[in-house]
Amino acid sequence: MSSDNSASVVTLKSNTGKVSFNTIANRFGVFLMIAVLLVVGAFASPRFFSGANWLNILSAVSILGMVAVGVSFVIYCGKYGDMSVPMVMALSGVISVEFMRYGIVPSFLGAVAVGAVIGLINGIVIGKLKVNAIIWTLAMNFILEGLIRWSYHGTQIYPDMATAVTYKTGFLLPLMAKLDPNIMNIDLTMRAENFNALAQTYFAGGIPLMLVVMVIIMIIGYFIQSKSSYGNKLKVVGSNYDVGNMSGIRATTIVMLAFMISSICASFAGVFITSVNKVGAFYVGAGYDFQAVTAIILGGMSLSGGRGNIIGVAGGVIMLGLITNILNLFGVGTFTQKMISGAIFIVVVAVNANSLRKLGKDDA
Amino acid sequence: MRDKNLNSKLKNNFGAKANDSRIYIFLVIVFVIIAAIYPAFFTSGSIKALVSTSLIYIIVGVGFTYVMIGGNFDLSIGSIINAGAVVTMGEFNRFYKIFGGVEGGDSALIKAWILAFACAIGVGLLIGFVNGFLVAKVKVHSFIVTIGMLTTVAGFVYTYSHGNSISANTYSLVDVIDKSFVKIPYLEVFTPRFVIAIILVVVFEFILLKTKWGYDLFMVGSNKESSFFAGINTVKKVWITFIISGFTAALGGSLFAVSMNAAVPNFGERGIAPLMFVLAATIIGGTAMLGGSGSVVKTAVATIVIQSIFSFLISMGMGFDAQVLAAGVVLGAVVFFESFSVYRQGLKEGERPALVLEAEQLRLKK
Repeated sequence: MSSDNSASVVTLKSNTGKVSFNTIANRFGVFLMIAVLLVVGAFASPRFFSGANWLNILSAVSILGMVAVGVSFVIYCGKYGDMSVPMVMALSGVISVEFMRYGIVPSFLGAVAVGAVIGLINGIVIGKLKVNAIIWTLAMNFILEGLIRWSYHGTQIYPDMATAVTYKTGFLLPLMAKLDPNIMNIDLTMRAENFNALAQTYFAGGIPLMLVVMVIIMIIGYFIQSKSSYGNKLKVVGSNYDVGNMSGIRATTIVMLAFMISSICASFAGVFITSVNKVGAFYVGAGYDFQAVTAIILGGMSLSGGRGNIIGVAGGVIMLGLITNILNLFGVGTFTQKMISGAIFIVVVAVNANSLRKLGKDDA
Repeated sequence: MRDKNLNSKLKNNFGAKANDSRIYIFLVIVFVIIAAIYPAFFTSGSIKALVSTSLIYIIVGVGFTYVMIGGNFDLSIGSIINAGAVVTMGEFNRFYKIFGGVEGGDSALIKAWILAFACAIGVGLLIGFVNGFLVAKVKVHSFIVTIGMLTTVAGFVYTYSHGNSISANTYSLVDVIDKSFVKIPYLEVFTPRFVIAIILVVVFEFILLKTKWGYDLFMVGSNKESSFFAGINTVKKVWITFIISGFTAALGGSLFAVSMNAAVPNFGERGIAPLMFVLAATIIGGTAMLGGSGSVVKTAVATIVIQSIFSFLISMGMGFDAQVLAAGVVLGAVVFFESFSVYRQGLKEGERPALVLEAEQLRLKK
């Protein structure tokens, strides 16, 4: 009984304008945690506040940032997450290396087109048939893994060794070679260098291209999610699917577009991560699905949908980068870091769910 | 004419019954097709190989089915399997050394194995306990909890094993665990590991079908609110399903490691993930994705069916990567088909066949 009482008191307080701890924790939690981490980082190493370290942190999370913006749309519409992100990244990377023969722009376009198609399939199945999003995207992830491995016979594709490719294995390469035999004669050395240079392009003061792209994607994402009519509809559908459907919103289309945005963002990330690793393979995106969800939840977006924004997501992404950086400065190993990040995720999700319940909002 | 039509439509339960026992029909069809194309598949040796490959999935599937009947998913089984495997091997080596190694004789061996199994199962129970706590008590969504647990436990496994594979220092148990009791063809499948799996399946199926606890679990899975109002402790039920899942996953992993005499920290990460296999088997076996119905035995039969399809593909000369693709497609098709049938059912909700028929006939008269 006592817990019921306290819950109602907290609800009352937040209704009458007095700000409760839970509300603060929900809204600004990530930035408070970042502030704490900054203090910890200052003790970790004197190099922590150097410009080079900060560029290092930001460029390390820029790929995660691109993915997280996309996945945040899926979570915003109340669908828990997109587990097909790792293989969409891998497939886009592979496709971009294959399309590299025509130049950098077609390579991006090809990757994004593939991402859009996968997002469309996910969206149709999840939006129309109302399949459990996690289970379907997980199945999609396994199918795509099988497709990549099967078409490459389990090998990898290197942009700078692409001249050695026989055009007999590959995802679309055999088809491309059949349609346009000329591509076999294209000299790839220059193009491979251009492709690999994508991740090593720096602007004034050493700001990497990836970081710029991440910021642009975040700004566009912010405007779509919080300022556009699509974003409003997404919020309604995310808060309550049935209400959205009954108030004249095409909920199916809204959900479908959210999954397409997620896959397209993952495609961009996939091209960049392939360029960073200089290899296209089925495993390049492993772990990004989970990290993206962690960043989004850290950023105050609710798993039940319709709450939070991209600014918080950006905070969550930066916080993950800070944690990794500080643990590195303390000399903690990669495996232990994995364990710690998983534990942080569980604790944050539990606290988030608990505080939402205390606020009387839902059981997330 | 009208009455006949109506009766046949109203009493047409055959479809529902066939769907209930579809896995047995599926089993027969698959075996008939394989027998027609590749009769050598049914030799005693290949049946034994088929069964011993499926055992890990059968054992893990028991707990997974329980969790799914309760209306949740346990995506962390892949990591728990690895945790069970590496802990068994690592702790055995440690205890064997403590008890004196080779000089300790048989008693040292037995004590070390028992303690190692206890540690592995303890780890599984602990993980299941935490999963269950977060899902049932804190009421976080089960996907999210178990995805987090998957990463945490994977980190633990890598930290524990330093990223290497661990082998036991003796071959004492590996000879016993997969040794047939009798040397008669087709009865060779009865190895200790197989018997353990059978006992697990039978016991848990019995609990599910014949006890009040199992009956209540079905109710919790199909409707949480009404079972709460009926006086069932839903929190405890869901919690226990996760503990069972942790137990079976750790046991499956440790028995698998013993049969290989080695444990790797990344079993299934670069191949056919156990999660993918067990998920597909559980859904084909007729467990509802939303909870409330299902059967441990049917999951086990589905495991055998899927594994025999894979073995068949291997014997037809299919590569490993093609197998991974086939596994993914099987899972995708199963999820799609299941959801599509639920979707069709949803469209029919509130429909009355008798009225529809009457309306049709009125329309025809006009």
